[in-house]
Amino acid sequence: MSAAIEVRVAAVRQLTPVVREFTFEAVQGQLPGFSSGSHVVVHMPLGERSLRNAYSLLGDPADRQRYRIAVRLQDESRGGSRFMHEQVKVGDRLQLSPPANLFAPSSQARHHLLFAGGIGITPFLSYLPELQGRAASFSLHYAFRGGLTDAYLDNLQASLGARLHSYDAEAGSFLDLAALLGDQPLGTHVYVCGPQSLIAAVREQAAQLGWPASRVHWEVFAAPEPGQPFVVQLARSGRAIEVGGDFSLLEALEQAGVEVPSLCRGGVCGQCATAYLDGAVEHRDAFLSAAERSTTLMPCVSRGRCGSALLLDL
Amino acid sequence: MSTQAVHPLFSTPVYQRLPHELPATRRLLVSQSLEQAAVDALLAALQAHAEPLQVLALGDSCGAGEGRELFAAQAPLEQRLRALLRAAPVGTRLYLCGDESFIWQCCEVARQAGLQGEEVELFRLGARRRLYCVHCFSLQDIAADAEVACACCGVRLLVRAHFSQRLGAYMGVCVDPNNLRGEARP
Repeated sequence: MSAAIEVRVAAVRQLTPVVREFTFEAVQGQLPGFSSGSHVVVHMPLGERSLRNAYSLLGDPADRQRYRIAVRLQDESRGGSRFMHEQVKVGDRLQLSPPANLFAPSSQARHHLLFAGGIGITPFLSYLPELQGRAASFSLHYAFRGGLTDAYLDNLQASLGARLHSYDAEAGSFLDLAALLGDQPLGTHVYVCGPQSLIAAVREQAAQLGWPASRVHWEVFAAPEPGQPFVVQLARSGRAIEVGGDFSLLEALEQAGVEVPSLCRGGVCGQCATAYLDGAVEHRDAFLSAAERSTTLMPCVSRGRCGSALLLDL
Repeated sequence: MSTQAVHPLFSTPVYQRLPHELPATRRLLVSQSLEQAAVDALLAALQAHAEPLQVLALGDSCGAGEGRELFAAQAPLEQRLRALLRAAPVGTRLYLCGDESFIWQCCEVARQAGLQGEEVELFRLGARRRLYCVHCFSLQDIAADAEVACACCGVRLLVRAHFSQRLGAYMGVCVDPNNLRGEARP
């Protein structure tokens, strides 16, 4: 795993009552470049535990001087978004994992159909300079709650014109997925980022209308859902680690000094897949096949079960 | 020693016998012929779906009917296919049936229209196929032969299992570099 980058907080902007934007600059040297759709993982020192949350880079990939991210304050925050909103000030230093991209625009697409729900607009902000730069055909459908989760709406209206379609739930305006997905030219790729419900609705509607999975791209950044506390045993070192209810297994391992390679930390990329030898597992990822699940789990989201010791091949 | 069949090359195309049961909003069958029994089975499977099936085929135009268009040659058929795909939405599924030469020429039309691999299903009927001469870069139609002379440059070619989807052709390489055209050695 690449070493973390140290950055300085160069600017903080409150965009809506719940969305705050941060600009980071390198403390030393130059920031690594990134491609459209990339994210970084921000390491947040929260007292005795360290949280790592992934955020999309929303700037222009051609701008090598700074990174920008936007953080929505989560109602049920485990502390990460609250830390970003309440603690982080201009001049602070933070550690980031270098950019990774699990949500790049397809080079084969004839038309790009983008669906953003609320803070899910962020990855698309780095798409736009690229798509506009190569005069690609695209349309952006942005669903939000007006005055609350409509970050960047004014800029988008100004720069995209008729290619932006906005849906304000507060004004009773909602996406009509069946109509949109039912009438797209051959060669279209669809991309969705936002709440799980929106992603599920787009994937389901697309599948029903005969879209092959390879045309449907989605990215979810949600903190791992809490669960029951359980104990994990490490077969090779013989250690036993307790995993609290609001810790993911991956976080508990990291906390105990056991580094497992990870990228998305949301159950989709497969990077953290780890073999287990015994115990009942509550699989919550969207990556492993049923067959793989009998021997492998993804500790970023999946958990052991209370009362059944989980034995990892670590 | 293993007695198992050698695994086919990655590039060797795989053909289906019956269509996959996948949702679609529109289904289009392009067939080289409608007169073979194997086509009937395919038609029956496709007609079992709720969505109407549109058929383009080579054949005598008196066999045309509701949702069924017949063409005397491949060029006008491809032209019609191109026009249909230009107006088609994602969710369209294309079924191509015929010999490999026919299938892969239609497949190229589909690819240019923006259809991706899994949106196109292939059913092989007949032995004709395309061969690409790696020495003079020409294409020719051949039968099931394992060896053939290039119609353009005359080199004796070994027909390899290596298939180019872009060209829709198998690779033909010189059988014997010391004896290019099969002439007697001096």
